[in-house]
Amino acid sequence: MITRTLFAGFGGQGVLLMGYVLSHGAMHKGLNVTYFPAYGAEMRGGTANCTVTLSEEKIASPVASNPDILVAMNFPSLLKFEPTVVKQGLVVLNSSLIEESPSRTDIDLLQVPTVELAREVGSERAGNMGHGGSSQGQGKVLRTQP
Amino acid sequence: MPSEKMLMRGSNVVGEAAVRAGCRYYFGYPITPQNELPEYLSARMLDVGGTFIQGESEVASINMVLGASAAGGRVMTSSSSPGISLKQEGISYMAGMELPAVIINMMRGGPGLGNISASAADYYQATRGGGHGDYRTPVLAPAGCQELAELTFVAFDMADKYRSPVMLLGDGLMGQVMEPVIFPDFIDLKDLPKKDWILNGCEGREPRAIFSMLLGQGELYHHNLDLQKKYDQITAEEQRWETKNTDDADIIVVAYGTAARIAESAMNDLRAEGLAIGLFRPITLWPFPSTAFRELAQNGRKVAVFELCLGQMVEDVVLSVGERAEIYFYGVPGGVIPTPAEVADFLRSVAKGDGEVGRRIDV
Repeated sequence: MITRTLFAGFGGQGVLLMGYVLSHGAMHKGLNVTYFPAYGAEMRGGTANCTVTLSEEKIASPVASNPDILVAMNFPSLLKFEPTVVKQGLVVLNSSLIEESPSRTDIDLLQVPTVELAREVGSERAGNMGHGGSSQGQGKVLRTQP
Repeated sequence: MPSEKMLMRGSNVVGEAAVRAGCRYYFGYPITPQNELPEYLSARMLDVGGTFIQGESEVASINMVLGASAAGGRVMTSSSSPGISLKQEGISYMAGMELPAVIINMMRGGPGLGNISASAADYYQATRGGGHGDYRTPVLAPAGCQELAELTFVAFDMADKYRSPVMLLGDGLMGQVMEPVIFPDFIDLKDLPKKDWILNGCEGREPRAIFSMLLGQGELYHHNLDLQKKYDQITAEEQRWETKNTDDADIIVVAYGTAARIAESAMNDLRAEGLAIGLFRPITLWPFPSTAFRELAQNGRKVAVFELCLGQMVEDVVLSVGERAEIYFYGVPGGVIPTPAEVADFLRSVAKGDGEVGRRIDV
């Protein structure tokens, strides 16, 4: 079982932290992990993304051909990465920012009102944590504690 | 005791491993994509009573490395491609003066300032010397965070054993990727073999000198021959490599570092399709593991070389196997990182022999 999650959004939305938190949690669950951040002159304002691969087996490439889960925090990320998601993969949209829907019909869609949910728990800045959690709630690798 | 399992990015892994391997001197000048390494050491060296200096330039930094090595320290510098070019003069001097040091190159796209993305276009520079003169530099090529940690230890030991600069050749992706790592225990500096050649003050003993200029009749000639003996010994004793699925393979993929990780995924996917692909991963780039590879690359097997550049290691593959095998090449330049699916397309093309992806090397 191998799961590749691509987190993508604006620099500043906490996209890399989402991936890091998932990676850290997975490591403590005893899984093999690779965390691959897109690194460039894009730290603020531009686009940022990272790929987290989790597996019970040894992981070969940290670079994924096709993500199983796409976590899109803004519309440009959806546009850019939607075509790469595997068939029957999961797209988790930040519906607070993205009004559009994916054009593909062979994927599962989860729309998360990230900003509203984060505001409810008291901090808009926690949006990335809620959103990252949502992406794994339906995933098959990491599960919440009973 | 080895460390707990820690999730760390490659650049930081090298920093922690260096400290555990006894490195107490670091000199460097910032450059993306390896700045996390000096950042990490700038704090970590304080914990262990070491010295961290950000030099005023790459040239200054490599000469500080030279000095600290001559005084007997375990010393390291790091940079990325353009910065390593600037350090070549110092590396040549250290080769001539037989001074141990560990040099990290987290390669980025070139030539010139290039870009800041991961690339592997410095193979020639790393393995052919880079600086002037008749010398070689041992080059280790890790392919992940755990191996970055382990080969950092190996690099310091090799440098001391052979009194030579040793290069650890990673890339910008490897420097940024995080993976769980278990670090080997700290070595005790007192356990290291004593160096009887260092310049540490000559009170009570004969003075020593270390220099690279040898103007006396025949001096440089004999020095070069002595160096060559050392390089012959390294070539005979230090070749390292890893193989996967090579026993039944019809096609052997040759790749190192990050490219090997990508190729391994492609291999796994193609094995599921029924293609018998194996992987040969050089861990030492100089000395290239020619002997082991020559044995593998026969009996009608095809050889498929994949690099993150337009073809440098492929020359060592050709030198190793000559006309014994058909050799194909696929490379991606300029800091673009291909996916396993793209490498799989190359390998399918090699299997079919249709020449659609990559090219056949004319030996």
